[in-house]
Amino acid sequence: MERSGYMCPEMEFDLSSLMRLSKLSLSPEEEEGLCEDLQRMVEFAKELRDEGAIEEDLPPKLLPQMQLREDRALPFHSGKKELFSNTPEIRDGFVFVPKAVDTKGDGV
Amino acid sequence: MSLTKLSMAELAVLLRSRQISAVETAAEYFDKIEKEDGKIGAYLTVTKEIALRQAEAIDQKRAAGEELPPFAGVPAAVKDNICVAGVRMTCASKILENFVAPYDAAAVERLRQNGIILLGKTNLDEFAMGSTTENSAFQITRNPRAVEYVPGGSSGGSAAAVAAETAVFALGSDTGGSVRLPASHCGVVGLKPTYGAVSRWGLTAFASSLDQVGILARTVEDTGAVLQMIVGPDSRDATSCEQARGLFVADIPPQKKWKIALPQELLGAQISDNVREAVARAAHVLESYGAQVEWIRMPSLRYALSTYYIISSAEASSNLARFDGVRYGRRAQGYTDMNSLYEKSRSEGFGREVKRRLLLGAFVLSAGYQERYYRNALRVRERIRTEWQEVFTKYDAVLSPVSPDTAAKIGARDPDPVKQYKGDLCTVPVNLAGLPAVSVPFGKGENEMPVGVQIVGNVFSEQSLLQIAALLEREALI
Repeated sequence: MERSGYMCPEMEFDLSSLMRLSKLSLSPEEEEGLCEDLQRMVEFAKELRDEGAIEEDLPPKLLPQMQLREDRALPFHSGKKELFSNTPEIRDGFVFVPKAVDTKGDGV
Repeated sequence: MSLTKLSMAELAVLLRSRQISAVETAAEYFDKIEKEDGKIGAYLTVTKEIALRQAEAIDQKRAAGEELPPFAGVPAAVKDNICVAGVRMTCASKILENFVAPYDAAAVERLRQNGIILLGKTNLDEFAMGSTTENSAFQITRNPRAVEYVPGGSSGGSAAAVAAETAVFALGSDTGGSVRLPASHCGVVGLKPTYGAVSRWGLTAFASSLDQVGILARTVEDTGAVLQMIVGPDSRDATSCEQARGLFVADIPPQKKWKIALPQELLGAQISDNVREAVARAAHVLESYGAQVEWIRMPSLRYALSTYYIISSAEASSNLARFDGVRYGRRAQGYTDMNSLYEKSRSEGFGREVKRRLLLGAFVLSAGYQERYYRNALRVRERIRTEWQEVFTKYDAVLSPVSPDTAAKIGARDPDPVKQYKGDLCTVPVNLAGLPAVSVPFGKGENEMPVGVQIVGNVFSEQSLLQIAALLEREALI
């Protein structure tokens, strides 16, 4: 997809790459506004680099220990109609998606 | 007296003795919603037909002499990021505008098992990202105490419905204060249970390590009764815990000598005089009942906000990747390939606040920055958690403000996102450590808007928190 290429001034991040990672396309106005917002947020987040904020030897933990449920298939009792009741586009009883492999060679 | 004025406990007595019926009760609530919700905007979807059918079934069972759960027939509302089978669930986002939930969330299942009648789905900030309920894609919600003010967020619709007496109680969700902040601004009770106490199955994930289903109710007693209904382990949520079981009664033990801590970091210059005075009054009340109240220092809390926004945005960018216009939700027109389908659907479907957090999440997780931001935030989170644990080796609870100030006027928020986020200063440290906390109304500010105070406890100490909250509630009413 073509991008407008708004350049965030003197920033640590590249907005167009963040847009690509987030699967978002933004208008030039949105890019400008969000770039300024992000700039403030990243500046604010930098306080975590302060002396005293981090103890390097402390291992980062995400969650307390937990028991993950077994990964197994369960029978689906509802019909196909219900299964697809929220699906935006169906053709011949299948979820319709555009081609996933780009024949122009840009990748997937 | 109107039935909508009654607390859950009062209503249940009348329902059990068959002085009133569940249909009559629900009908009176729907009348009030029809007459008054237009100016408040608490509800996104009203489920009148389903609710009346449910109420009729309760009445028939009661008439047949069947033994029913104690609160059967009490009507309640559910935040619109929690699944109710067969009912639209939008998360206040255009991307889910026409999504109909195929199943009940675990908390909703448990409410149904207790005979609770579901009145409808309440408004929120889109995907629960915000503190004012102004980020909803569909409508703003107004504060029933004064309609020119915000109700707080993100569970602003739930808090407003309870305050406006268009629901007896409501479910909300709390990732960084989203139950406690609107409870404080609307003058109702708001409980964020311990992480893992209530199953998150069927709650739309925003930041999975922080999200928790919470309760908004008119009284502390009602809050305890609702917690009793929804608490407990669930095999479908790997983080739900067995320890959560208990009896949550908001009685006041006569001889309990609580040790209460006041963290200086949460009562600094950023807190308005109105709020600081309310906390000081609450501390004096507790002292007058024999509690020992002491100032403490929690130095790591100065990093809580940035830690929270890094972790929550990182998790949101992962959780919200599922909204791509393929299997469900909004699909944009005019796409040319798979990537443009994703990008157009997401860009048209998400609002500005969600986009802002997705971009920040992508940034803090991206190569070269992950260690500096995300992994450091996890380290700081661990330090914050340890600091809380140390506090609870010496104290029973921590008393603090909920919000730095009373509710702001609609449209008055600062456009700077960092300044907006600073309103969550006192609530996010609780989520980072997975602790329970309750917001209880305790007076009013100069603008006559409610002020709430927050009581934080160690994991699974909900019973003590409700007892302390009940004491403050009683004194606030005197």
